[in-house]
Amino acid sequence: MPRIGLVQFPGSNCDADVALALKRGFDIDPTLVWHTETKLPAVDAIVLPGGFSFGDYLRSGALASHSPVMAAVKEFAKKGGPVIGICNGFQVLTESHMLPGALLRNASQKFVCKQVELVTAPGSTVYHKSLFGKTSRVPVAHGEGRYYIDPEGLKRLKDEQQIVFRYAENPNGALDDIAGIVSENGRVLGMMPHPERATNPLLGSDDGLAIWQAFLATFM
Amino acid sequence: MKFEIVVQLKKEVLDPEGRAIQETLGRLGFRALLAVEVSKRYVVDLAGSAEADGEALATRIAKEFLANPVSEIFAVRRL
Repeated sequence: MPRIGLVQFPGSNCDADVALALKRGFDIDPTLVWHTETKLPAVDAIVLPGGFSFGDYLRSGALASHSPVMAAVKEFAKKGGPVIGICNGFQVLTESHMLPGALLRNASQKFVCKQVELVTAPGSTVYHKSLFGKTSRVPVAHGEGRYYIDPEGLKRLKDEQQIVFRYAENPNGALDDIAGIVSENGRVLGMMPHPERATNPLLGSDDGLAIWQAFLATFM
Repeated sequence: MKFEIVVQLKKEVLDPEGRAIQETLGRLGFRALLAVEVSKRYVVDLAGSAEADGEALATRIAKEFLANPVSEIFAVRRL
């Protein structure tokens, strides 16, 4: 049975959705990890869920990136442990410098909450390989999801094939339509859309299951 | 000893809030308006009396915590 740690910050609000998606989709019960923990329990992978950690004060994800648990998450990732950060979790990953770039206020100034289509970019990680050629319908729900990086950084992302998902139609002004990227070693994925909210056809799409499947395949 | 730290987006980064304010002011008839930049101002009160030490500490706080070097710049000033 895969052991997944699900980190909770004050203001996380997609943790229950992630737990439900993993339970219903894969019969996995994740272990909840409160943000003040200095050590991770024995887990195979870590999820940083969406929400509004610390009320988005300072910048989205900025205060959470300094929570005690993040030192342990960094250490875990440094050893090759798989991590997925969704929405606010992605913001926490960029603020922690575990992923390059920043997520800024949407160009429209509006909170965007809708189903989007994600196109998987070519690359060598399990995410690229298992999802390439597919278009995934997954919802976004964010006010600060405009991915930004300087020109050299963008070049590096492209050269190293770190871009995983691009929006078919850009909802937030993200540079190069970027919706999700991986770390250089391919083990840390950050994405603005919510795959846990696309796990049941009754709710509009179950394309998120393939993304979770790819996440599980990073260690199973 | 108080220091002011002002954080704002780098020039090359789109500031949608500034742009929205600018467009609205333009509509209200402020025709001479060329641009609006939005920034965040923090005031930190530091213990100690040596100004150079205080400024160094305020700069560290700005650099390591208050500003994101990817997208923002900051300025520190003694109040």
